[in-house]
Amino acid sequence: MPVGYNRFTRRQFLVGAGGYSILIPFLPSLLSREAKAQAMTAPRRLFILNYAHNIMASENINPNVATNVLGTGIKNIPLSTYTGSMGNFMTNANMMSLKNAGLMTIVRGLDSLTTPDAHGSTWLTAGNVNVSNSGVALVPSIDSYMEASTTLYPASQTYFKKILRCNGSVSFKKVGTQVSDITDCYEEDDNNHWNGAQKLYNDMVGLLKGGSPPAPAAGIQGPILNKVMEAFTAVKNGRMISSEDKLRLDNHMQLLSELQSTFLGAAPPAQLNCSNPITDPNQPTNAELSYFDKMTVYFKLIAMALSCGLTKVAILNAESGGDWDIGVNRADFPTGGLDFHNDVVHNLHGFTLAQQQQQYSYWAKWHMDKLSDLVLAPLHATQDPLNSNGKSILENMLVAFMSEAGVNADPGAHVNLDYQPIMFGNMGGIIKSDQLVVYDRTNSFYRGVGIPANQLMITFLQAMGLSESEYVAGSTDAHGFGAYPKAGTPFDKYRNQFYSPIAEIWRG
Amino acid sequence: MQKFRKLFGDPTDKSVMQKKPDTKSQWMAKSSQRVLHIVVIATSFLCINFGFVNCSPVHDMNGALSAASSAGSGSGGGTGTGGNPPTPASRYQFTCTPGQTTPSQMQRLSRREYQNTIKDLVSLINASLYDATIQADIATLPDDQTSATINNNAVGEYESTVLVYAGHINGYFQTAFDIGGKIAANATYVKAIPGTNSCLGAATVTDACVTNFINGFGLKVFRRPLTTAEVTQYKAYWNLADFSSTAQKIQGVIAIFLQSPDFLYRIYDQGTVTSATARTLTSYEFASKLSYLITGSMPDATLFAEAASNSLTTPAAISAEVTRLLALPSARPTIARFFKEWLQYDTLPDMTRFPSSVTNGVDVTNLSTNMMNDVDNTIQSVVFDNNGTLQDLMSTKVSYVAGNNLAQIYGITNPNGLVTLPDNRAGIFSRAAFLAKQAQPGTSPVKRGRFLLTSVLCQSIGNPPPGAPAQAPALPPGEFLTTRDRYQFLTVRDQNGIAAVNCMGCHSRMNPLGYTYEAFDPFGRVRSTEPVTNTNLNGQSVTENLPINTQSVTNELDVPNVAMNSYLDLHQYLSTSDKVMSCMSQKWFTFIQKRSPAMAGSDDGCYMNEFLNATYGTSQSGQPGGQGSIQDLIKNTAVSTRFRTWNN
Repeated sequence: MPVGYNRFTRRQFLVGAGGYSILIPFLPSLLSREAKAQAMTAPRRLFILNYAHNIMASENINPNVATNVLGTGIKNIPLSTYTGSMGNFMTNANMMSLKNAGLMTIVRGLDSLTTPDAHGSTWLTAGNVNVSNSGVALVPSIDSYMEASTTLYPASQTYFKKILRCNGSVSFKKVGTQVSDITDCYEEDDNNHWNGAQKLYNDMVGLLKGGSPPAPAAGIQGPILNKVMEAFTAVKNGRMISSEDKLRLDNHMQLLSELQSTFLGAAPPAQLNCSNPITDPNQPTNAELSYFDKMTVYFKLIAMALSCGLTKVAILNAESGGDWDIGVNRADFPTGGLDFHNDVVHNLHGFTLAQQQQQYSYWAKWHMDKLSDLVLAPLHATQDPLNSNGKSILENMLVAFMSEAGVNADPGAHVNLDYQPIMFGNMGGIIKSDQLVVYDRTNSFYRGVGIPANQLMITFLQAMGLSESEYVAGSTDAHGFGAYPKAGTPFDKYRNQFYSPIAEIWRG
Repeated sequence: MQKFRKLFGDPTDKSVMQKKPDTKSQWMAKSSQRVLHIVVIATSFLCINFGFVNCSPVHDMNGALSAASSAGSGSGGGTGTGGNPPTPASRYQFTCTPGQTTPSQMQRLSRREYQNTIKDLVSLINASLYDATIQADIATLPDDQTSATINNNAVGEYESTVLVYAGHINGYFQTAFDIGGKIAANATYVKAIPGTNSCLGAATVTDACVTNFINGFGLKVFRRPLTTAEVTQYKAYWNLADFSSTAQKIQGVIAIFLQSPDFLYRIYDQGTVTSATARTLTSYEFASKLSYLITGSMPDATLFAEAASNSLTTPAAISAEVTRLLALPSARPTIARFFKEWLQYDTLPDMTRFPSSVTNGVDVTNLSTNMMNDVDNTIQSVVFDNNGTLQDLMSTKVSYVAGNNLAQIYGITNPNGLVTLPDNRAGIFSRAAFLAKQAQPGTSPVKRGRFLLTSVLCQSIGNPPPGAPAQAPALPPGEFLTTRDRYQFLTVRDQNGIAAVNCMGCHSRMNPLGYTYEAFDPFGRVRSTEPVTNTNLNGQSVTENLPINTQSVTNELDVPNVAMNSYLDLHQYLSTSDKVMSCMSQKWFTFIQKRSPAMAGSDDGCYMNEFLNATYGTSQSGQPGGQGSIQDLIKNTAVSTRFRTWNN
């Protein structure tokens, strides 16, 4: 089997060439990168922790001013050089350590160009919403596209759980059949408060127990592909073709090798540190657990699943329908046992703005602390067993902590402007980390609407290796990742333009 | 409006406007007088264009025509002295440095080409092999369509085969494996494999039979004879221990062939070495390249025979072969791709987005398809049926009207295919597809002008400045202005005559071109008035039908300050414009090479000059009406030694 290469480097180069330009000046550096990338293909991994309300208001994230001019209406600063306070919910020592190591990225000024809608403007869906909420037809969200991607999940890798997805029924629904959907993961189900965590546990630990390689497939497919690979090698090494074309053949061969593994009975990736992180997985079954307990289980299991190669994608959409949970351990909640969604987010309790901000910060701090301690730190402490580039698991993946954003003036509303994702890791260098990138939303090229949040989703999708054709299908007016934004809105002129990752954080 | 006109003069005042442009011969004869006339107009409002560098005319990439040359002196990599009208000595030329070449790119078969090739290849054995299974396999391939952008604006799609994705690899494998399996499982198919003389159906397959199989089938797959090393290589595949039966050997070798780089990519490096970095294509490679250029598929039997006899070596023979290929049905959709990628009419807006005030009774069902078919068939009529020129495209009244909805837009009662449109709709850009594409949903002179400026004239234009509104603001109560006037006030000068300094640099370039099309509503219906609805000062909703004004003056053509009464005048100027012809040459280069031309001054400029000169035709030597046809352009492309050269 041929040696694989770092596909992203070549692909990004080739994209440049394919855009009707020749990037000859970059070729020498590219070739050197090719030469040193004698490693296995790094599996791309992504973890998104999202909250479908405006928790992380811009006022709560520091620094809020960037100074280095990147372009018209765009500034940045390297976060590792910033020594001030990151904000009252970002104080965790592990998180700060990652920031100082250049593994943190914040982007400010991302806007969804769809009409805000209760639970429908969540950006993971690029505007896709529940039918029952708004009557808009259900179309795929980001996880559905990743689930269906043959690039991300080639047929040979059946041992992966395609997506770990914890979500309720309101915000968005999967379109697909193979997502491991942890239904009711936050429901205060009268009968079983533990079912979501238990289901995730059984899925993950069950995979740990059954980690034997699949039997080689019978037939001549494997030998055929071996010889196809041989034919490609002969052309690459023996013909009068340009260096650029050799890179294209490399790319073709790498994909061939992935298909080849289907027929050669390739073993699942090595599983390291795959011990069961939960001490008592089957208990309790009917006792009411706090949100705190369940989230702890989720974080631990997801960290294990990502580090062991049991899945490549995990999404926790930290809220669901039904009886709303308090959102934090009630006993720890400063204002007492309230319904976080109704009483705090939508302020049915009549909090002052300052009280709301305090509670938002409490919610965000709890999640940031747990995310840092239970996911980020363990993943960064372990060298990636699936990639020989010597980097940690976290460096070879991306973790995004996001919520609807909003501003203090209207903290209870569903606000689809000025999203601010906080990200960790850099996908092995694909993402330009160690930055606070600020898009000027008041005087920008996009005239007061920052840049489309959809571009961050496309950044994720392309970083995970998906091609444009794998995620534009099924998009409809203003929804999904294709026809966008909505016709007839002031943003109509930007329709069909947002197929690009965010340039300022995309190294590719 | 009146205040505006009083302060700065009405740019469309007929007292200073040119009369309708002359016929072409008159145009050629009256150039000097025309200069004097239009200088007068230049003193009116369009002088605001001066001094705003934010969007000043700049020459587009790759040595394309400089706007400065329109004033009579070539620059931006071009030579020539311009003039009005262009004289033979001053026709625009790209800067050319012979021998300064860019390495040739191998080109992967696009899904369209792959599908055509598979169909033609298996039909050499039996046409029924191209069945639903194989078609379904091919349908899994990514479509290779990529968004084309100009200044970050998505303007259409083009076929891009630079990257390959897992979907390609999986689809190639499944198609190859299934074709091999179907052939191997059917004795009739096995006996029909090219070059084998049925020997593979014998009880014992001899070594000579295998050699014939490799050579015969390989010739069709690689579109050239295999080298000795390749024959040895593929015979070794036949003898693989993993292939335990003849059927498996046939299936396996065919599957390898159909996934090989020499099948999936077009690599023309087998020819005679002419320099350290160049090779002349073999006769087979030339035949293959010509076939894909015109038919989008592998060579047919005639081309293979001509390659075998090496008979395509003279310009006359090549031209004759191009003529034959252009007559094949497969040539039409292949050449149509060029026009789609150049003029971007294959990505039209969703017609259901238009409000009823715009559709005005037109059924939008299949309207986009009808519009695109109209342009496709119109272009085919000009290019294929009438051996037409760029001038013909700009003046044609032929249209393909297949649906009642399009007929309604055109005011035609008999929508049954090719028709001749009324005199008020001449030239390709008067077709509904182009007019509706630029609507938003009302007419947009800006978008219509931008399309012409960037796509047809290949001129660069900058991005909107910070804070520029996306759309014209609503009219205040009591104000009734046409779309044209609203854009004029917003982007060039307001109603008080104050210059829109951040906007006018670009808009004074785009708007005048777009104004000439204001005689068409958003769907492309002819109109003489524009209904404008607003509240009057009493708060009542009132609709006023305001007269349409299509007169305009532009600096964007080959000479400055060209006055136009309507788009018909614009089309006439475009039809003989060096800028348009050089733009088309540049787009043609990009289309056939699958890349942009290299920087100015390279050998690419020489190649584009060949296209440009073919388009100039005899008009280059001062003979009016002698413009070369589109077919001439294709023939000259094939005859060029550059077409026959592989560089590295």
